[in-house]
Amino acid sequence: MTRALYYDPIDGRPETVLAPFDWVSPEGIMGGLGVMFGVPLICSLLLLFAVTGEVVAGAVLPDEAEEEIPAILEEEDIIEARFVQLGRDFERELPNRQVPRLSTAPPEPAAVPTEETPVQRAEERERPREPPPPDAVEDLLQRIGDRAQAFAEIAEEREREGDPEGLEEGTETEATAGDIYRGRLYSFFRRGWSIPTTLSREEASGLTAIVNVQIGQDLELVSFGLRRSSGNAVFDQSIIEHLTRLQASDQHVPPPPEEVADQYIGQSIAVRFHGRSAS
Amino acid sequence: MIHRKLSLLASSLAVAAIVAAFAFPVIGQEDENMTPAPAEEALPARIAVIDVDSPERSLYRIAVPNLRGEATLGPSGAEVLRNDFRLVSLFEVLDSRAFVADLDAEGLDLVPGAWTAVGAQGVIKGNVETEGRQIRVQMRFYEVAHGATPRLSRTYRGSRGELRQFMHTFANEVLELLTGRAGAFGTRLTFSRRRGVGRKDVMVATFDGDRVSRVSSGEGIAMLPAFGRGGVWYSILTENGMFITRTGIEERALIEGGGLNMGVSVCGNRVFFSSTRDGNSEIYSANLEGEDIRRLTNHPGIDVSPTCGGPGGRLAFVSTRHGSPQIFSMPAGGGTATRVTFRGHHNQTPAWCTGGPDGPLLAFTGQAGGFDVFTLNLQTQQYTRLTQGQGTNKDPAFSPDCRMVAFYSSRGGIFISNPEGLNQNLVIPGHAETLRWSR
Repeated sequence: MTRALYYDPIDGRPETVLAPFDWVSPEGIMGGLGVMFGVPLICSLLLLFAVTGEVVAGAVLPDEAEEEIPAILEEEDIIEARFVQLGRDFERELPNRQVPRLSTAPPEPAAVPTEETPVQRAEERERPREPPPPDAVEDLLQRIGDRAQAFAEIAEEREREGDPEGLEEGTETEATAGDIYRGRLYSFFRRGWSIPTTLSREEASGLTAIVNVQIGQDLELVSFGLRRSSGNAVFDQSIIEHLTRLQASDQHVPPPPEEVADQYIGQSIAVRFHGRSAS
Repeated sequence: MIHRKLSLLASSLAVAAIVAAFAFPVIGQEDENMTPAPAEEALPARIAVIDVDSPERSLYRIAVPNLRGEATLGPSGAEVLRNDFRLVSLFEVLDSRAFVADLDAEGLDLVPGAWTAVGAQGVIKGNVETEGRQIRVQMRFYEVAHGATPRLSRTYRGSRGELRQFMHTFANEVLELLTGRAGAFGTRLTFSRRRGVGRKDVMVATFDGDRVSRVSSGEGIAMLPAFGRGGVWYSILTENGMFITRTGIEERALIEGGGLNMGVSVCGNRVFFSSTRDGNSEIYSANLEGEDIRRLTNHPGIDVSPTCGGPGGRLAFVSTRHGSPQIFSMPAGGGTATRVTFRGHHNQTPAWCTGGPDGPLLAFTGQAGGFDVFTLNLQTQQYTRLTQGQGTNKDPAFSPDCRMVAFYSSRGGIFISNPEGLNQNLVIPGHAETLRWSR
């Protein structure tokens, strides 16, 4: 046998939002509607007042100072940024015509050491050598001396490969006896030869004359003659005058080495005079 | 059979050897009887050949004996020639006391041996005769190397007062014959000279110091002269400012108004000057009537001392736009200014040289201790100092041929030297400012 469950109608009916609440009253409903519609309304009104108020205040109240708009800068107002280029500082001074002379004074003699006791000598050896303090005057003098060295007319000869009897203008590092002798003849014939300043360096550089020179048994200049003219009479004349002076002053060519003596003693040689590289 | 072929072969070879021995010369033997080779052929292989170069350069030795004929004009004419050759720094004028030639016997001719003996390379002979109020001058130039035939012969006729100009003209021709470029003998210098408080005059003189004369009115302060079309242009300072005028118009103002107008330089039909008419000293140009004024610079720095006639017609001027006075250049019609001097802190009074063999040069006054004269080679950027330790030296001007530089020195007046500052000679004693050399 089945028995009917107890069924409460309340249980059969679920709760819903539509169910009236006991605490909701008509006043509460009105309040809720007021909040729902009133708050947005109030905010809108406040916003409206703010905007209109600024406009009214702007019209009524005196103008405040406006913020300055920077003017367009004139070209003169711009300080251009400059960056130093990587490099070295070039000389900014005008040239100096006076060439400092290189001092030729002998070096100062070494100071004579005073007598020391053995104890003093031992102490001296034990004491570590400290570098002397820099002397501003000596440093300045040293710098001046270094610059003078660089500009001195008597330049130090740099060591380079060659021969003690070679020429400054030489290019070879090894030479035969004949080559060295020809260099000596070059110096012999070149010394004292000059061309007039009315001949420009450009014009002189293209001139060449050839002269036959007869060398005697005693290495004297027996005779000479123009074999080929340079085309410029003044240039040719300078050579003739030069050789005439050599001959008149009883100059002798340097004695040749034995290996090449037969090419020069009692022979006629050709000397080509070029106007290039005139000083 | 084989025997016969071998013997035939041997015989053929022997004949061939004998023929070769007689047909071709033996290599290495020299025939002493061989005639000398013509001049244009190569040197024989066996002869020793020595090459010599790098000669020294020495002054051309020229002899200028007194002109024959008229007793007073002869020596004076010769002295003009000697002075010209000394000033140009290319000649050594030989002392006439060393001459051994018989001048009376030679006349206008030349016996080369007598001049070779004294080392002369060139000889000038001349003769002056009077023909009423006129003179007739015969001139000859010999080069001793060319023998007794003159290289140059000229005859001049004119008044006695023209003798100096005849000499200058002949010297220019001699220089052109020897160097290929005409000389500048007989050209003129203009400068201003202080006479006292409130008084400066514009002067003109021949470059060798002859005929120093005033061209301004002698009243007030006349200064900053320059040669140009119409005469000598210069500026006059008044209580109301400074205006530009020139000779021949009684100092009527050609360019005036707006403060200071000064530092004129004339090239062709345009006049260049500096003016403060717009408030700041700028460079302007105008036509020869002082019209069509065009402004060429526009910078808050001070722009003065325009000098026209540079390479490509460029204009040099002095400006403080980089802080201190330096020399700039720009096109003559205006445009971008390019700085020229980069050494020294104070450079002014530029002067162009565009006719020399070394390229365009610019002479200027530089302050290095005191004031000294410098040149700048615009191609190589090499600076050359012409003076040092010789007092105050300033306001240089190049001769038209660029062989001479004139400048004022506190040592006593206007000096002339070569472009390296060598061979300085006093030519015009007395105070001088802002020199300009005629073209």
